[in-house]
Amino acid sequence: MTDVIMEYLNELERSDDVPILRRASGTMRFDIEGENAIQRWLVTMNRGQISVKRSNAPANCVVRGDRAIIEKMINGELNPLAGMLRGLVQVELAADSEVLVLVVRYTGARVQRMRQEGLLPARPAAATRPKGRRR
Amino acid sequence: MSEQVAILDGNTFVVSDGCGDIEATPTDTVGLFSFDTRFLSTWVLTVDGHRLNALSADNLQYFETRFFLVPGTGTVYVDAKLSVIRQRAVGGGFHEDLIILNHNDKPVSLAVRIDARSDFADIFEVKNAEGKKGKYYTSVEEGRLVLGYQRETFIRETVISATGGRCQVDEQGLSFDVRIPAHGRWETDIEVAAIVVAYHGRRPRGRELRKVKPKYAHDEHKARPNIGQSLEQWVAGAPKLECEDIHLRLTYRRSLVDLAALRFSPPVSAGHNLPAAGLPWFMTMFGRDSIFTSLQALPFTSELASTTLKALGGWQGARVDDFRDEDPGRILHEMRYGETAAFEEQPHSPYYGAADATALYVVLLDEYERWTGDAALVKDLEYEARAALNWIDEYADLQGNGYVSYQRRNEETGLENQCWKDSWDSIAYADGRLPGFPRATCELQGYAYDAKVRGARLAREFWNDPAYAEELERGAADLKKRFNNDFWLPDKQYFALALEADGSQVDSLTSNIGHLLWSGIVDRSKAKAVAKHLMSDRLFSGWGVRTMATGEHRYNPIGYHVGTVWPFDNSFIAWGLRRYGFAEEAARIAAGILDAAVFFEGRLPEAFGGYERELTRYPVQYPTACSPQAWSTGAPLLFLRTMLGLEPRGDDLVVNPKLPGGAGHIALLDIPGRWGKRDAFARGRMPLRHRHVTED
Repeated sequence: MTDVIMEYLNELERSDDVPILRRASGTMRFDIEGENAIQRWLVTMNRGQISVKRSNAPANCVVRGDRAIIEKMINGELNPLAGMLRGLVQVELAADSEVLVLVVRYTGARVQRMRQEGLLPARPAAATRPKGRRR
Repeated sequence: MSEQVAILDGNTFVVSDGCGDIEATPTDTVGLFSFDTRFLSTWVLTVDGHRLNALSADNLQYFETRFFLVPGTGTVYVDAKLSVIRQRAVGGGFHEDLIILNHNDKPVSLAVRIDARSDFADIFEVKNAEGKKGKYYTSVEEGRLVLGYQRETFIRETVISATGGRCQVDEQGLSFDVRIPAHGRWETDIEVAAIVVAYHGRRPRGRELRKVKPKYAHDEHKARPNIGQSLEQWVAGAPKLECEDIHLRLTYRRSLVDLAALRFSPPVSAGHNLPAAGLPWFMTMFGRDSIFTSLQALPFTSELASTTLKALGGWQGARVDDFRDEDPGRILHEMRYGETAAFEEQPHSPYYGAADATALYVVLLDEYERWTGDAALVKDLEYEARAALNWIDEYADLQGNGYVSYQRRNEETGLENQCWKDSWDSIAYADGRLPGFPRATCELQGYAYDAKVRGARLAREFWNDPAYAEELERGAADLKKRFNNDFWLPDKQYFALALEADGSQVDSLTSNIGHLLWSGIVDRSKAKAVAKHLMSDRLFSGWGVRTMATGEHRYNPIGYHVGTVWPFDNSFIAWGLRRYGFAEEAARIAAGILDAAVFFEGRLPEAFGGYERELTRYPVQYPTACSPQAWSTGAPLLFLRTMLGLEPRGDDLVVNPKLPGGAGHIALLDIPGRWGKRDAFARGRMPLRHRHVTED
């Protein structure tokens, strides 16, 4: 079984100069709760230069959740804002939340790309999706 | 029912009766609200078991109210030997100072009681009254009353405590055993904290029960806005208006103060402040409203525009999501934080169902740079602007005919009409029929055209991409050419309101054609006919341009989008008329709406009746829950810009005033921009043919 979270973090680290993250500067930590332990991953962004490492250093923003919940967010099965409001994930902000907002958008765009590439199941078809012209 | 009093701080607000009491029914819109949730539905003060009577209620500041109360029932109070003062400051819940003065020669003993309850209704439920799916709980912990609501891991709590005054807490409220000596006083501080319990039922770190506090403490009356500048700094930093017309000065001042109150720093907004749509119910991020208001305010402050661009850019759509009507590049419509958003029963997390906000986003970015010269932000938001421009062609062309149109994919809770006229009957044929979907309303094409033209400038000057600039310009020219053929009604000499899927022209005469002038999509040869229609008796009421012309089947002078006059709408129509050289017509509209503002003490409502001005002599307000409304607040600012003919040209500000006759002189000093600060002076000499002067 592939490790959804590791794959995501690896990809994030290789995402230097991804346009969505180009204006992001700051740190964000994922605290992933497993059965017995918490894994902490620190993501550091400096105008598009990104590094990811295991660390419990303080961050501008900390996102904490059960492994399964974080996986759902990464795979686009759980809307991040809904998850936050519902108390499924905890978000602590020590500073400006721009990094968080941009990472949320990056994650959404990644879901879109993976669906197009067949790496994630396609979204359920809406009953009456109007046909758009695709240029 | 006594008058309602509303005070607020960000998205936390209290609506109570004139005594400060809250007694909500499931559908009543009173209570303490925060994060789109009602945290108190009952908050009733009694003395010896009796309710109190209000002598006065004064809104001291936007976050603070003082109620003067006396015991007694009915219209004649018999015992005024006691005064009760209730002073309330909103923020993170509220803080309430309760003071009782004994004016008698003898000591008194009183049983003072506050009953407290909460239904934790979602703002959407307040309007729809649905049953709750979770469970309520109440407890007394550490001398505090905790009112709670839990549904799975979703928890919201109201924590109530009092200091001083011999308080006893039970599960229904607070009781005070009060003894006051002759001519003495008694007081207590009550704190009500609204808590979003963040994670798996655990209160957030640092928010343990004893640490939970509302924002303002006892005797703290200085505003601590969540936003950068205080009200005084905000008003002092705005251009100064000098003019003979005292009403215009009043309206200008009112607009600045109200815009300050509407500044809003929503949670998870990247820390930015932007104009919320309206107080108190729409204290949240709205794409369209924030963009229009930022455009109106640009000559006066650019802060709203820059923050709106950053926040909306941060939340720009990234994927195709039918429930949220989200597409890559689409700018959001509305964001909410209540239970229905949390459980995805409403799509506002955020919801993207607006067909205009995305093009308007690019329009705002360009206009912002023209005023400020802030090239850095234009470069920072290149990706967002390109994604927005891409959305227009890639995702908005639902009819496959090269026009922006809309049809919701979320058929249950999505919006049917995704343009600013979003009520169900706003888009209709002259004979009253409603067109099918998708619908391509005309103003959407204007916005798309303007976005391409402006996007081309940005691509050439800031993104170093002349090829993309040319592509956008070709697309704009093509759109303009097709539009002037396909939407034009040769017999009627105006543009159709919309095209429906089969290409039929929806032929009502509406104010939408005014927005087309603003966007510049109208052929010069057709502009005169459009201006003539806008100023005709069918559309122009004497106060302003109606949303729909008299004589159309669905016209109704008090129909929300089918006959009322909207100040915001008129401010953009006047700007459009000015763009095409109809300065006199623009000034007439400005004069009409600014005259109307006098009747509302300078605070323009969202809309007023489309009745003929000479018939009613005063503008009949359309009943609405929100006041002030952001884009009505911004309208006088845009009228000033239009009347003064303010236009950035390179690094200079051009001033080319055309005032209504009788306006006297107007001076606007210290207009900020890439030029530093400039002054504009004007004198109203232009005679107006049909100006109806208000009788005193």
